[in-house]
Amino acid sequence: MSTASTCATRRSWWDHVTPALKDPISAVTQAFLADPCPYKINLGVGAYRDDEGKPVVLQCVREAEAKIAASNFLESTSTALSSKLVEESAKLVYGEDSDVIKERRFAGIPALSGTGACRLFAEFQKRFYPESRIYLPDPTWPNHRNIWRNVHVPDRTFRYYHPDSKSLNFMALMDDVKNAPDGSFFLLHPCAHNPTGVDPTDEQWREISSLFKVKNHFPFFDVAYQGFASGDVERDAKAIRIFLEDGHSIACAQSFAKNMGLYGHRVGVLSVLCNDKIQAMAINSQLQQISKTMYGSPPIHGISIVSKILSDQEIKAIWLKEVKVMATRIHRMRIILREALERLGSPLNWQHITNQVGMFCFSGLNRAEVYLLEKEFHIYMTPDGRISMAGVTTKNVDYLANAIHEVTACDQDAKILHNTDAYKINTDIRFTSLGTSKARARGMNLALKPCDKIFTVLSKSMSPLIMKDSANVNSANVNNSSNDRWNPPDENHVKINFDASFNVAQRTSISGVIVRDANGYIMAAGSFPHSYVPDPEMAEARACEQAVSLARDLGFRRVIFEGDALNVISKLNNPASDLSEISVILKNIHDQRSSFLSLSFLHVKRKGNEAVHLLAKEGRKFVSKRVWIEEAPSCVEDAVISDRWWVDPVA
Amino acid sequence: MASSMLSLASAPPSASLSSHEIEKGKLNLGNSSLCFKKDKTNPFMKTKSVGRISMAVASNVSRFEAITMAPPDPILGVSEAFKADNHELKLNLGVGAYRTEELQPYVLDVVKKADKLLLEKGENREYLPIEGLAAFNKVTAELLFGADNPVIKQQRVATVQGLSGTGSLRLAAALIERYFPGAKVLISSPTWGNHKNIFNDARVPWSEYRYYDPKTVGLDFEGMIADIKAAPEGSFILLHGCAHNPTGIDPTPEQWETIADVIQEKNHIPFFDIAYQGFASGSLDADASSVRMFVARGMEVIAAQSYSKNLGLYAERIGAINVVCSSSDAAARVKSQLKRIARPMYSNPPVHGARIVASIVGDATLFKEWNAEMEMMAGRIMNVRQKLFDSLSSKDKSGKDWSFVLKQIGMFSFTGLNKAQCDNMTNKWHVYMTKDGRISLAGLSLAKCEYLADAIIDSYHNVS
Repeated sequence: MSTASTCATRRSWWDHVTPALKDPISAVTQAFLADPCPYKINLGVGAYRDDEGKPVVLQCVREAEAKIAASNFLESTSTALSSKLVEESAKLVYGEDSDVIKERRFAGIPALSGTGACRLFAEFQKRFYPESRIYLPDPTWPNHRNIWRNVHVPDRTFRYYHPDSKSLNFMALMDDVKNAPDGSFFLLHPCAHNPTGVDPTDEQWREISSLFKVKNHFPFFDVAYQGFASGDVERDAKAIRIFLEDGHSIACAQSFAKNMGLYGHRVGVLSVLCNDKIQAMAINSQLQQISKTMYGSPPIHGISIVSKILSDQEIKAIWLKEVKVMATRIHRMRIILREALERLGSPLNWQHITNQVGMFCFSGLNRAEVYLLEKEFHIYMTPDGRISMAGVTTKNVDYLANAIHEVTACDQDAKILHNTDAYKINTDIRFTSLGTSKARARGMNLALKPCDKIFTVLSKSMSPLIMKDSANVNSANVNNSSNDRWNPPDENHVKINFDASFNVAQRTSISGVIVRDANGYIMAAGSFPHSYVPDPEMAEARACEQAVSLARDLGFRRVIFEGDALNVISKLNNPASDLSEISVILKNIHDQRSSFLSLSFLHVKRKGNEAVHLLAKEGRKFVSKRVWIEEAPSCVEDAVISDRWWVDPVA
Repeated sequence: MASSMLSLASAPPSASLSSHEIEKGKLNLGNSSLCFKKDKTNPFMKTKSVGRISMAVASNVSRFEAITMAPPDPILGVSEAFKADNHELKLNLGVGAYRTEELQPYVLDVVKKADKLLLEKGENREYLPIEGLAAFNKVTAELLFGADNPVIKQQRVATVQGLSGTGSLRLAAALIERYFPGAKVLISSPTWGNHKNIFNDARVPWSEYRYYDPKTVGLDFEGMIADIKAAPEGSFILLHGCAHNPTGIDPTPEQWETIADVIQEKNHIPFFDIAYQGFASGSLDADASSVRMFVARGMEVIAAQSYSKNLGLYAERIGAINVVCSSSDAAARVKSQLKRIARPMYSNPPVHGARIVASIVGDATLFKEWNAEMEMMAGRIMNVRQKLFDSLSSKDKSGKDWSFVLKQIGMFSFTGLNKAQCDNMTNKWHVYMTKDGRISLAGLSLAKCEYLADAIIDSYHNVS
């Protein structure tokens, strides 16, 4: 058949579809599942686990299901169930005795759990405030941004979390609320903020509410954890009740995924407060119309479970008890984890573990430490250092505490590593993973900075080659600081070399970046293309900027940046007002200074910058940016080895 | 008080405050002056208290004041009017859900069994992956394309669980919007009412192709072919895989071949909506033959499935979107993008319906039972169709050809009655139906065929 043969040669309709970025949380789960280690722990997923680490189906859910099964389901009951669900959910969040409930001054429809409810509101907002934006806390659940972006509502952030205190940055929050244009839409987490676990106090909520009134902002609450923070559903609705008292117009996205363990059933509700019943009907009809083109009607099974639980007093009582059990277990794990870390003698402050509430603990672990926990200890969490406390059990908490301690306590004497059972397990695992690393033996590959001490400890019983390496490094720490060759940083710092290759004809450049530790081992490398680059100086400035961003993204806090572009380095070190074209870039670099505990910019002669120079040249082969962790393209291998001039060339 | 006056004056002109609302404003004003006292120690006091007073009034003008009622769903309107009618012979032929001979809703026995099994198993309720239940995705693609189809074996199908037909169509619409900006979707005239809304909301432009010929109450095949030919190259052609909704008119196998020729010639993409697989003829394979023919030609195809009708899982919202690609690599990429669209819409799909379908299809005994029940349901509708035709032919002495009733397939029959004639059906005969002349044969019993025939004949001949 002639048609068939022509179509075979025709291009595929989908050739221009590229793989979508992996969802970061799903990616953690996938990595966890692929890990064969029996001690592995998944602290990534946001679903409750019991003390055995097992998923839980709540008793109230089983009872509700048993009762539902007995009654024969008919289509006509579906509408009735939906309105029952909406009514009971509204009571739960606004309070049974509130005026909005008594006067039925709310619109509401079932939604596909929290995501679906947020999406419905975002669509609704877009439809009736087409020019509006949404202000999201920084940080927030990553999907929030996607939800509003997918309906073409621009997102802004307001400051929320303070990384140093690991608590609420209240002043900054208030500033940002004040500085947002009047009448902005704000997303608020009323309890158990995801991912930080940091909530404002009641008094702070009152002040936020007052300021919202002054500014005429619209508070949109994402209520994903009612009952999960304190164990008491009423207590967890306190923030919303405060706003309610102040007479705000409010909308709430409710989810029953966590507090009823109905994750896969996708049950939630979106409710919007209204002036009166007539407006409620209008808004209801609009929300229904939005959902009608997205999925028709909501899936009934979950709805019938939740409306049963909420409307049957006996089952509801069971549920309230079970919520308390879950919240209490999580809180207990917080206490045990903190105590375990303190018992290990960790010099860091771990108070925030118990100060934060809800499913998550924003640990303050940086990317490098998270990476190390995964690679060396088989502990999985999102790269922002978020620990799902639900994944912590009495059985694994000591192992976890010990691992966290090891990756964070790098400045400490190795002696503090107690010879506990947990530690024995750790070392066994680590030996196998280190022992099989061929790259490591080549001298190209070593764990990240916080691992230095671990490495030193371990190396005593490892291959002679590595032992020799370590010994030599120690003696080489008396630095010979001549700047015509590469010199290693001290033990507390990493050194990041940068260089650029410039294409005159196309006005493009490639930034090369290599991160190395005190042993001269590569910790990370990157190659980044740029277009519209006017001259070599700009190319160098861009490379420096890229080096700073990479360092920040990877969580390095004490950093030495080194390049061979003398004018860029000297302008950075003499921040007199510079009017050249690169001044904007220099300002960007300076603005990032606060991300580092210590940073400096050094000049090195071209010979000492050879490795990264080769990388910047090699980078021309890549169309898009590339980042390597603990390795680099083979073209730099020789240069990196010869940069380790203090090591005897071992065959 | 001065500040509250000020804010009243500055309220948007569109928001007219009734005296009732002003009452409330005063009430709130009282509240806020209370807060004012409480806040005296606060450094923000000054700005805050002023703001409180002005806002207390402003908040009574809802941010959503301008929102008007959305138009009601036409089908729901029919059901409501039906409910309000007390006549003993009333008939509801509006709703698109299966009814028994006793005109009662029907839960399939296999679904009850599967439900019971699930309850006994008490499986966990964890999140499904974004793409849905793996066991479901596997069986749904196999049901549609056939388990031995090379596209399955070569992993060239991107399958993602969707929320029934609507949700699956919406995912595909979003994919088209993102990757084929400006490309048009051609939909049949007429079609299921929600198709247009789905593409509108996904910002995908659409236009119609001719499909129904009122003169013959049959397919306007030439019009259809001409319109598909005239569409800009690379358009998406939305086709009902079987049992066209609302007309019940399907192309013949030969006509399907011609349609495929034209689509291939014009480099269009066929986009199937298959809401009734197995429900139209009673056979899953026969009802999928149109889709399979396109796939067998090596074409890339989009296909949205639903288990609302054939398993009666209406409210569980279970279906799937399938994109047949020319390589497994392209399929993997398309699948990843479909997931990316689903994630900010609902994160992951509901588990219950997926488990029911997977357990029925995955179990040989249950699968056999399902096929038998589907045959029974389709058979009942075919019997009603035959009886209606017989009644019309024997009662109508005008010589009008009613054979189109028999030629149509599936749950619906397009009677060809115009709006005035439909009004007569409802007002005089208490027969409720949508105003486009569509009747749902699922809502008809053998016992009521004669009555309906009388109503149709009267409306057809005595109302113009």
